Amino acid sequence: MVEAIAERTTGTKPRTRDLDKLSRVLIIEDTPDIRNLLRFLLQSTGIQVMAVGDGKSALELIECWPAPDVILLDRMLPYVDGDELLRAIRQEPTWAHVPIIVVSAKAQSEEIAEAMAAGATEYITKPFSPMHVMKIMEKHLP
Amino acid sequence: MSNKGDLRRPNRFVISADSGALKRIANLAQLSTGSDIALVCVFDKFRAGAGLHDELNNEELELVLTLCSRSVRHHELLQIQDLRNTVETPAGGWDKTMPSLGSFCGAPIWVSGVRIGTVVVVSNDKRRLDDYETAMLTNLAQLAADQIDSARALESAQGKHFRAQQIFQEISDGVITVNEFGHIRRINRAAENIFGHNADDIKGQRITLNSQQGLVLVSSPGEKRGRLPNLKSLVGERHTIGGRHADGRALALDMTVAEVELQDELAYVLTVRDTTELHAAQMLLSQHSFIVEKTESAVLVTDSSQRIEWCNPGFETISGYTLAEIRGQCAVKLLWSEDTSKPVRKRVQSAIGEKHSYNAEMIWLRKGGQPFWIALDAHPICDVNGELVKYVALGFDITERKRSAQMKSDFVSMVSHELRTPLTVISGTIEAMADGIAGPMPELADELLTMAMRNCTSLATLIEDLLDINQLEAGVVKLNSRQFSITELMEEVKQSMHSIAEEARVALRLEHCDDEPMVFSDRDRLNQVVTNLMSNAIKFSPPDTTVTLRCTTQNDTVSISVTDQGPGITHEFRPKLFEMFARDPAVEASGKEGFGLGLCISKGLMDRMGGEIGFESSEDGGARFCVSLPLLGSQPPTGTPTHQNVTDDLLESGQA
Repeated sequence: MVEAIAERTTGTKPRTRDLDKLSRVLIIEDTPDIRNLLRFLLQSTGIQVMAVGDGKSALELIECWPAPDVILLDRMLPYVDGDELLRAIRQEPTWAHVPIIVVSAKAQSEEIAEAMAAGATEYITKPFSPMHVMKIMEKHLP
Repeated sequence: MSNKGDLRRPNRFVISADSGALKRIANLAQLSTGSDIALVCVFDKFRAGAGLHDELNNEELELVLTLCSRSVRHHELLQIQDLRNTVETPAGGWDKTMPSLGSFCGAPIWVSGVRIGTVVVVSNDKRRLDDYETAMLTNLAQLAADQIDSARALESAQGKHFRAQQIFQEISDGVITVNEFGHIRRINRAAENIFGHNADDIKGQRITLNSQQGLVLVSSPGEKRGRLPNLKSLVGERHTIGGRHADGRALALDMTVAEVELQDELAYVLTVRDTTELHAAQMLLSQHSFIVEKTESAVLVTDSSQRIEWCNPGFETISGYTLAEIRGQCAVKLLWSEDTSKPVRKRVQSAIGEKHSYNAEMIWLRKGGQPFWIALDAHPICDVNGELVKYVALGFDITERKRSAQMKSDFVSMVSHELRTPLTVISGTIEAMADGIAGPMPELADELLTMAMRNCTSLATLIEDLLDINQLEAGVVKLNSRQFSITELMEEVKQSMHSIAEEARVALRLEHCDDEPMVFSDRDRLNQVVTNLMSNAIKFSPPDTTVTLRCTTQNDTVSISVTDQGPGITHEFRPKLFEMFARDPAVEASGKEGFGLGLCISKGLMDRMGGEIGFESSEDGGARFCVSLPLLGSQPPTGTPTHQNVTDDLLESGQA
């Protein structure tokens, strides 16, 4: 389920962000190591992170939680896959506007096109460069 | 009577000089009756006749012969004592007085119950034969009859012989008569033709007849002929044997042997039929039917309306049907599956409609409805008027091939995806560490991290390449085609290569053409190809040289070329350049990175996009790679969508 709700910055390079205005990012990724890597990256820059490991948990989250600032979404997920989640998020009034960065091993152009059609805002292919993820992320954070 | 006139014609009576027996009978008749003239006349097809008529002039001969013809119509002896006073004249006129001839007497010759002639005596004076003389004449007529009868029998036998001779020569079977020791007595024309020998040249030669050589009329010089089998043992049965033509060619023969007695000598008549061509045709036929019967491939014959006429056991095995079950049924209705893609079904239907041959990979249904993949190679057979008579289709069950190709493709695809996940973690972690997220790194650790990172990148590239190769091989690369500017694409590629080029100290030059060429293609895929060419060019360029990216248009084609000033491509490596995992050993030894997949993928992608890829390289060094695509608005190559479809595609993919 929800593994982490909010953690203070622990990195050695604390970014100067107002604690009250901490950005909140939701990570939906089934591989624990990638989930943890992404969490580590984001938290090191002072971002609040929520992370779930499957599509069903994500759907529950969407129903009862306030929308985050950005969503990092894997496509191949247990129970409910990423494309379905994309559509679900886009139909949830309070969540519909959230930028969704899809992070996926699917790299074919038509596969990317499918995700874009389902409502993705950005698309990052695996393996990804952490710097690249951060760069894209910065673009969409308030 | 109409034949009376005929009888008058002297040429009807050939008084044969060689019929000595009849002549002697005439002689006896003359002597025994003391007549002046005696004749044996025969009025039949044998035209035999004999007589002593030297003293007769033509007119008298005519009279005598007329009398003969009269006498032959008499059952009994006909005697005219006074010819001069005989008033009866036969119809047809006979009013001549014959002062030289006095009397006439003729006895009919009876052969097989038919009077065929007479034995005639004529005297200059009028007289009457006494009983002894008439009896003599009657007996002589009987003797002549016997003579003629035996002559007839002989002639008939000779006729038969002649006809036999004719048949012997004209018959289409070869006939070779040999004595019991195998010496050739005679051969007919057909045998001459079959064996290519002249009858006159080979008379007396000994034939060879054994299981190895078959029947050979004339052995080659020095050739071992072997023992002749007991010809008697061959009599009666038909033998299929080999043989040899005079020119050395092998023959196939059917032979029968008959035993005959010929001029007190035991002889054997070999009747041979040349079955060489028949045999060859039969062999070919049996060879073909063996193949068709035994092959695992399916053979299906359908009539002009696609009804099944025949199938081979191979088809029965593949489809599960028996011929009896499916004969007469419509192949399309019975076998075709809806799962075969529509374009393929349409193409096959139209090929059938136009009586063309076709190749297709289709999904058919087994008995019970289970689908299977079949690769078809079908040919129409038309009659002389060009009317379609039937289709003969050869089919291979490719279900297993399709399945294993799919499995392999799925496997590679799955593995590549699965590899990406841990690689993401490794490379992400290393990069994060190098980035100092976990605190500053000692200098050595930084170097090690850079090395690890570099290898992560190359592993990631390999995975991407393997996926591409896999998809190209499986033929499942989908193109996301749209309209775009080549100039913009080139700018973009140059931009992305900037840092690598700088690192390698290689200058990049961009040469646009005058107009702004637009194409309709997959922009990302073309980018991938040009990027690959650029990265190769930079990789092989020595420092302080230039790599040129150039665009040219010609007719309906736009070409993008990448030219470097590197060492060029060795002669040996050129033919292998586009092969999978192809790497020049010289390059490998130099330690330059790469998997030998880039150009293979580029070629595959260009083929898929309906474009071309090529290269030039001179011995002096430098290489130039060039890709070309049809310009927008030019005739689209087969398979690419028309403009109407373009919009649809864009809408569907959400890229409009």
